[in-house]
Amino acid sequence: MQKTMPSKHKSYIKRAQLFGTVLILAIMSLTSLLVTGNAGAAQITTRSLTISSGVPSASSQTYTYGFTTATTAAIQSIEFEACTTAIGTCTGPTGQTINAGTEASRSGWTNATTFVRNATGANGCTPAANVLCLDRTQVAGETAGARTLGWNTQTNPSTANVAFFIRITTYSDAAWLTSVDTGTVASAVVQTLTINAAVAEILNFCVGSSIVNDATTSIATDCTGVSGTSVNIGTLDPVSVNVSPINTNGGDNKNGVAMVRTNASNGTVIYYDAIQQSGTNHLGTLRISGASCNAGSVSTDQCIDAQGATQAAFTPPTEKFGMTIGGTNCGSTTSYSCVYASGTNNLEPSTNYVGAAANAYGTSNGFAWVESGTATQIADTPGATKVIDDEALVLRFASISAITTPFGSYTAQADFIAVPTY
Amino acid sequence: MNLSLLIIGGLFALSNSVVFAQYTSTNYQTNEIQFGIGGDLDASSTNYKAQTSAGSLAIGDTSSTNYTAYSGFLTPNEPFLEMGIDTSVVNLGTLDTSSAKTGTAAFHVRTYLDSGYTVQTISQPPSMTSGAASHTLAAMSLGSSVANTEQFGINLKANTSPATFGSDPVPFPDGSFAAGVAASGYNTADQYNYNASDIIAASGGSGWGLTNFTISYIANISSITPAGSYSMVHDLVVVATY
Repeated sequence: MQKTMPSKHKSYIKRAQLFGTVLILAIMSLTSLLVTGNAGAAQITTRSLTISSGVPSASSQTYTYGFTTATTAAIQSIEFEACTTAIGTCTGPTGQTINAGTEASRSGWTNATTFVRNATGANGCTPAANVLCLDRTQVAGETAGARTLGWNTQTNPSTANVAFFIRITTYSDAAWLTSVDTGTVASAVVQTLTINAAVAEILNFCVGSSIVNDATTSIATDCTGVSGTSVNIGTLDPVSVNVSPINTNGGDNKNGVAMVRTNASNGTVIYYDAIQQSGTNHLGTLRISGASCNAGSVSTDQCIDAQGATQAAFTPPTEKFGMTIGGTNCGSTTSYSCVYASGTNNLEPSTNYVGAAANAYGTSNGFAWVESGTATQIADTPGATKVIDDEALVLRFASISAITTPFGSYTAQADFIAVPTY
Repeated sequence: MNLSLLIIGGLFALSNSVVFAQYTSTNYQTNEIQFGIGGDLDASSTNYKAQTSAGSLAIGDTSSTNYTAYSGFLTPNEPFLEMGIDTSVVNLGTLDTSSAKTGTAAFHVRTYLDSGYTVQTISQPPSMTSGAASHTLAAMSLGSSVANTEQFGINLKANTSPATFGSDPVPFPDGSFAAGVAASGYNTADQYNYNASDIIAASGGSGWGLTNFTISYIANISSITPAGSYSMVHDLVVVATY
């Protein structure tokens, strides 16, 4: 028995068949579209942009593009288009100028011919502040693969904390006509972040006495270890010059020292001035305090003649008093290499107070002493590095008496002053 | 017949309008699909355009050997990059030979559709801005803070020495969405480092999204660090690879 299908059901079946046919056609059409969707410019992969600064409006920057081309083909022209968005209508980022500069770096390119900026452009590339058109004549193909291209004289967008996108298109011809690969990179300029700090001024300056008589033995760790207020050069003799340290005839075997630590970046100068004692004439030299001395060089009064501002060696039996710097002691310096013999000390004796030539430690150059009380420079920091880490001037005093110099207890006093410039 | 033409036309429109896909294989791709109770990729009229989503079943990303899927309320179909400095000034104060001075600054990076990013520090350490002399604080190699030694260093971690300060990178809202990490050399607590051009932060995994970073700064001086005012414009550059 055969059943006859109602015409209504036949209609449903026909509609279902029609729908199925349409659906299959639709899927086939979609599949075809998706498979052939990359028939034009292929996607540049592994693409990035490294900018040399993220500061808004920074000029003279280098933008380095890194990307992997998908197609083996000639690349004779490139368009870089800076936009505020990755896709869609391109609006140039405010303040950004990429249409400038020259090729700054490259890697991975098959052909060595460099790209140049083309200010005229053509076809797919119209130069503008946000559009950079590059070209070269190089018909040989570029093997697909990773490469970089750096371009200088670029200016960042002016708006902080905003990303920008640069759309890259390569062309096989030199006129931006036949595109090969394309891709977009992104970067960002950010708000300025400022780190501030301050370093306070430091000056540790001390004067004392020490048995150290060289430029290398540590006098003290720092100024806290420097002590003593006097140097005794013993009983004077018209036959020989007493030069500190003296360990005979009553001498205390000590030199004077002046140690400095400062972070003054513009230099430090050390001065002394002779304290004026009571009495008459020659108040600032080695003398018996309160004595009346004669003006001029007189060897019969109770004032020993000061050498004066010009350094000289002492010769018996002419009475003289003076001071020199045996050398700059680096024994306590830890922050940098300091060797007086090599001239790597920062604090250097000044003219007329250099004890010996060629950074030798000693007193062979002689002595000087300004008795007037005028501040007299004895050391400074003439080198490029001005800061001083516990360098110490070894102050060596010398005197000789004349046959006619009256007996007694003679004293000289001095102030020492450090003037750092920060 | 009219029905079939309508469907084909709709599919043409869909395939031509999408540039970036979230589901791909060698031969097929689908674009911006949604599983959920509602939403519209392109709700537009003459004057308005909107993307909407409602009641997403799950958000985050997932992947296998051949597929990667990204889901959420909205998954825009274009690459995205955002970097912001959330601090304008860090004042370390007057530096001291007896103890380190510290400070922090915040920045954030948010990316989408990239295969990774790095953040580079470009600037030299703070240099003297007062007077005619010049001096730049010594950049430190990876190590601890040492008082009375001139040092300038940073890291991107929560520290307890020389003080309790700083923070580890914080993905937002959690690690499912963002995976920014401190880079090698800047990822050990209480260890500081500084070298201009170093990478200090990077994406550490497959997550795309926002990561908040905190830079921890330290500075020490010696007794001969030149006196004066010091300043550094900290130039940070993000490099995203797509």
